[in-house]
Amino acid sequence: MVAVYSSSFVIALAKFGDPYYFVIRQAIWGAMGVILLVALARTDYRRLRPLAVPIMVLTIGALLAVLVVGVEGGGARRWLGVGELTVQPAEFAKLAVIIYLAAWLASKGESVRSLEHGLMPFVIIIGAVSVLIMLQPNLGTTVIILAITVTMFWVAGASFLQMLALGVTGLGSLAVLATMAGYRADRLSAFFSAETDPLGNGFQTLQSLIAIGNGGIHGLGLGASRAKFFYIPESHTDGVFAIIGEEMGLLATIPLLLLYMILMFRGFQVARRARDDFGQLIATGITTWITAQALLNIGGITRVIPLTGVPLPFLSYGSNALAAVLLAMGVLISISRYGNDRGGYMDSHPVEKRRVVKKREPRS
Amino acid sequence: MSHPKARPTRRVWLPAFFFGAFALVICARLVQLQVIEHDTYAARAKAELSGSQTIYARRGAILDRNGAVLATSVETWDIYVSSRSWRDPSTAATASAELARLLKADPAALRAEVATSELVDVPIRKKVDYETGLEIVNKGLPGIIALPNTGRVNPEGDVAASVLGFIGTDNTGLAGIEAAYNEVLQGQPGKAIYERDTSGEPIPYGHYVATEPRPGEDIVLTIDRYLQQMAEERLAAAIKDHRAVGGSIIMMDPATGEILALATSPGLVFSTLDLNDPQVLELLRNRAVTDLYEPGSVMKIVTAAAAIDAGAVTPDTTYYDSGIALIYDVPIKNWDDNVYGEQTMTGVLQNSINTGAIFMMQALEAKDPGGFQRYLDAFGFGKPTGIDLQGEATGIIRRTTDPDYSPVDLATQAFGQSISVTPVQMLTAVAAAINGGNVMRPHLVKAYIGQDGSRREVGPEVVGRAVSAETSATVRGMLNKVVDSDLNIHPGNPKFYTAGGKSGTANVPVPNGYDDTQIASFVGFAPLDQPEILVLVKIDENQDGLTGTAAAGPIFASLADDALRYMNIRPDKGAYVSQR
Repeated sequence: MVAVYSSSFVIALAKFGDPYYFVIRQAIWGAMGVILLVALARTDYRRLRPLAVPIMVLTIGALLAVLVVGVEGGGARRWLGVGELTVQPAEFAKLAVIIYLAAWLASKGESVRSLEHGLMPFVIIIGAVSVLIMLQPNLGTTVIILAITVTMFWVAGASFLQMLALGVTGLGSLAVLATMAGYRADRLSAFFSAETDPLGNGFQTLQSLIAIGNGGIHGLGLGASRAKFFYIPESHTDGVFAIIGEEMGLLATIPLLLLYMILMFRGFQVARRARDDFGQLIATGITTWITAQALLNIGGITRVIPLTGVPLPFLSYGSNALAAVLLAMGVLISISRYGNDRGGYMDSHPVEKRRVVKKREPRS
Repeated sequence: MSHPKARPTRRVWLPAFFFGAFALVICARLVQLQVIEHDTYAARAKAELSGSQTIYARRGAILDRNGAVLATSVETWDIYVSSRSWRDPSTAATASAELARLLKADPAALRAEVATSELVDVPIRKKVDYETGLEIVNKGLPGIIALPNTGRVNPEGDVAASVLGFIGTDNTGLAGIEAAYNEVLQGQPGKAIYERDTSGEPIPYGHYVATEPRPGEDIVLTIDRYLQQMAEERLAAAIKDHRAVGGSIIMMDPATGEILALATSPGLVFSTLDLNDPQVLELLRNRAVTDLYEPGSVMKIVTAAAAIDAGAVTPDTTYYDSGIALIYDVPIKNWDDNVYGEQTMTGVLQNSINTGAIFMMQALEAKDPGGFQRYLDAFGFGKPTGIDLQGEATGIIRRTTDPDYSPVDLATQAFGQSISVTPVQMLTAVAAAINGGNVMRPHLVKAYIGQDGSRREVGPEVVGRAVSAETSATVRGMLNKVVDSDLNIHPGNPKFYTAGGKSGTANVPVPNGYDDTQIASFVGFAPLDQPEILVLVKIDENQDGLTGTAAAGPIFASLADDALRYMNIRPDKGAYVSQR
């Protein structure tokens, strides 16, 4: 079911990238993503568990590599690339963090509630990843990773006090970060007073609002967007929601929001029904990721919160983002499949018995 | 090995609740944006998206009184480059090379101009001539936008440049008639409205709405281009001959106040106009209306007219000139230090006797205290004449109520000192003295011609009365005696036409007295009984030291002869008359 959503969105996306350049690329990546999705969906997600540490190491390595040899774009180093093929490690880092954290938290069991075994290592791990991504810099992704990890930590059984402490420090550091970098401060000021500088800082914010507002209830009609003619910067990536709002109106924006909510509901349901802690935490993480990113994007575009420059899951142009999201969906489906497995297949076929076990995280 | 079972957790619903609440807020926001405030945003989108380009209306032409074109507009193009389009280096390279060839510019400079501009549409060249612009349009080069504009041409060259003025790149008049009558000439600009992308290119399916521009009206000047040219040439020659720094020649129809010719120097000259010259502002004003001078003895016309009109003197009233007049123990001498003895009032004008002018003023004041300055007011001194050029000076009269007034001022005003006037103001006052007493509004526009060909005349406008018709006739007679006496051959006496006139040679006032430099002028009219032209010839700071009579007089005489014959006025004296 989730796969249907995602693939239909991919097709819908084709309408929004206007030169074929984007469409073809997106279709290829989409197709590859779907193949991987199906493959992952059919794979027992528990096989990921032993891979958690290597994936994490790879991710951290890639993040470091980006900082050193990454390609710059729009004032930030976010891409690793060879010619046409560019990889944005930050996109995959989200999935990696989820898998790793799920494996780690699952191995902790009840001990997550303790300070030295729970909160401290947790803060160190996510802190390291966040700092690496912030160095690119990429605030949006950092915020999402924080949301993912905090939620996972909560679901894993963190105490209320731990959550409170995390919340306070998280918000505090976000506030500092947001005002530190010039362009982020610009975005903040655009949020609060876009009107004072309609051609500069406030341009993207105002144009997005105008596009959405102009769409009205019915929209201007598919393909009839005025705003995509350069009025909204990055209209095919971060600003795609504004274009949808302009072309198809409230009749598309509300259902779209609803779809994300359904996806979230289904995702958390999967988490709840998961057969083991690992699956539960991965499902929680993936669901939180997609939902938080969608809301961050739409909230920014509609000026409910400041713009953070994250793509809209499934809809924004962006090969890496799409591939990462589709991969995550594959994992989610896998968890769902095995979670719904009432026949006890999972129990009778533990991963360890079907495969040669190379290494596992030592359990404390 | 046992497998860990998932904890049955309801904890997942807490983040779900937060997300759901946030989604609801966004939903509400969407309803607000797309339903409640839809109209506002739709209007803003329309405004944002609507590119509007001014379509300049055809600017009205400026014609001389006989319909000769002095200024008219031709079609040109304004060339812009979309900086967005030229962001692509290969596009910029090919397009700039081609554009540079057509505009005879440097391609690299063009690219740099576009690259460094903060505008979306970078103006490259305004008012490119029609053929070149059309070639650029037909090339269809990427990123190049050509908009129609109009350019101003002056078919008569520099003739009347200082009267006509010129227009800026935005088609607004910046000087002269172009500025004073900008509203009339410019018409109503039209507007092309279209939806566009941010590079300014119309969006394919956007609506085009255009309000048609309403062309400006043509203006017919009172100026006669031939007389104007004549005045300009003679002024230039006079400045050269007498080694002067400048001057004015103004020719007016005294009965109507129509200005037939208005030459000033320094002044605007199209062929040498350089708007980047910091001194250019000095050239843009029309000094005949903006600059003040002390008129000197020309003022005696007004003093005589006032005294006669008040019944204080007649042309034959006599007084005794001792060469000096004591005003409150301040001695005032004649200009030439002569002692003329017993003189008539006509003789006072003929010999330009300062003490005689003081006598006239005193006679007037004796009969009517305060009357002299009331006459000055009636003649229009100290206030604008209302001529249709910008920046007219009002002139200054030192009044009896002014704190630094001394009775000497009244005496010197009688022969044209302690009073400053513009050349046009002086001419208007003399016109009132000789035209039957009407103070006319001097004007440069004779008629408007609408685009439908309808013509609206600007009639003569009587501002007030200065003297009676009888006084005026008497003054004409006296002034005729100045140039046409039996005593000597006056240089200001035309050969073929009866005339009248009066010279003035005034020192240039400086703080604490007067400079050695002088302004030599002559005001004359012809023919005597029905004056067709009234001319002021004013030569500033002539280095040869000649008086108004000697320097400016002959210019009036020859100008009157030539102008009146050109105007088909029958000569009323000299060889022509006797031959008939």
